[in-house]
Amino acid sequence: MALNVLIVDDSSLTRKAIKRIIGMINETTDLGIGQFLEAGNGCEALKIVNESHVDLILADLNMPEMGGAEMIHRIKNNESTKSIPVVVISTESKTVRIKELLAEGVKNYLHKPFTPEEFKAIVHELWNKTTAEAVDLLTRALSQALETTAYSMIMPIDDDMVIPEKTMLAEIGFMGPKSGTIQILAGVQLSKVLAENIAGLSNVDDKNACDALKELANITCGLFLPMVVSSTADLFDITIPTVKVCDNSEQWNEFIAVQDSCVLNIEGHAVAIKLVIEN
Amino acid sequence: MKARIIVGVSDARVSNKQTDVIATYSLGSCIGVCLYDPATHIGGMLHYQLPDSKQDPERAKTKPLMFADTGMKILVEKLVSMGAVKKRMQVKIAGGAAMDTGPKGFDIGKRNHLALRKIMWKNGMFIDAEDVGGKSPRNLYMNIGNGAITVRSNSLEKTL
Repeated sequence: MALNVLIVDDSSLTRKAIKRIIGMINETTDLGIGQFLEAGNGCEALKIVNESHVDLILADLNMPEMGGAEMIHRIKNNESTKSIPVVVISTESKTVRIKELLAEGVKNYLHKPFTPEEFKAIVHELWNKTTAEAVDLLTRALSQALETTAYSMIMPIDDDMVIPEKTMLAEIGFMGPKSGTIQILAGVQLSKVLAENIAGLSNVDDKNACDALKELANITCGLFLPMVVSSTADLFDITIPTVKVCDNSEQWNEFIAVQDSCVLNIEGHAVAIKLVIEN
Repeated sequence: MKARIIVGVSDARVSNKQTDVIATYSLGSCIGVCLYDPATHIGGMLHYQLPDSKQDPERAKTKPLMFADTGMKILVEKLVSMGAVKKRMQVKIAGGAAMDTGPKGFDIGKRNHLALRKIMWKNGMFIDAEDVGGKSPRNLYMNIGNGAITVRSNSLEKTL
């Protein structure tokens, strides 16, 4: 995923310098930086934030018209922009003021001048954190979906849980401010249990199991997106979930071999989920 | 004079005597289930500890009332054999608290609650009222005369 960075500073020279440093780092270690956006003060920055897709804001504090503190206050008090991470870059080192800003939701503080290494560390931390947070939200969504539709719950991982061989992989896509897919991989056996629970059926076949997993993916996605963007109405398009069935352990092994998949325990059955965010 | 019938832990009691009150004490992560048929004034209460008998089939044989699934089956069958009708039964439940004393991370209270909702759903019965979750133990009382259910917790009383 490309990270769009908004640089807010009243000096065009400083903006160029920051851009150059980030550009240099990005060439040697891929930070996944996409587009650079620039603003000369808080007012301009707010306009850009509302009109374009911004993943990270680097903001100076002392600027004409609207300073950094006021701008941060407005961004953090607006539902649609409050999740955008803000890093303050300033010569100011009055710790009280910095503490206040951190309390308001600023992710980090870089003292000007900063070294490329310092910046690299901040972007890494930020990016890893937001991915981890998103996966955490996805797990919460899945947990809610399981409890309300299938009367099952996620339990702590233990050694006794059943690792499935025959598996079903449900996939649902979403397109909007962020696009991607949610994948849930569950054993056929568990999917059948889910079908029993969701529809109150007693004799379930593979088709019921497929439908159950699709339903679970659908509801999970529906719960997840509002957690990421508070008002999802009209913001996201969601695809119809699809399911791939695999009769041996290949699908499972392949899925969990990837680093960003996450294994959960649903009442004794291992289940894997993955969140794929696209550009 | 109302007679009080006490339901122990992993226990169930039934009655069709209108002067009876069925009671159970200190429901923590356990759940108390009250079933009541208002037409025949037949009621019963189950106090179960764990969500699923499949986790411990051996114990389920000797103590079926310990588990939500086997316990509910016995209670419903007993009430039906006394003349109650399943469709008419009011279902009210209490308990399922997250107790600090239990093993961490296992959420027995929550699992007990979900297991019961699943059983009810499969049986085509709806839970009419519930007082579940939280962190405090509860006492539960059922008046066989009118089916009134009272929950007492932290010295506060409420009617379900």
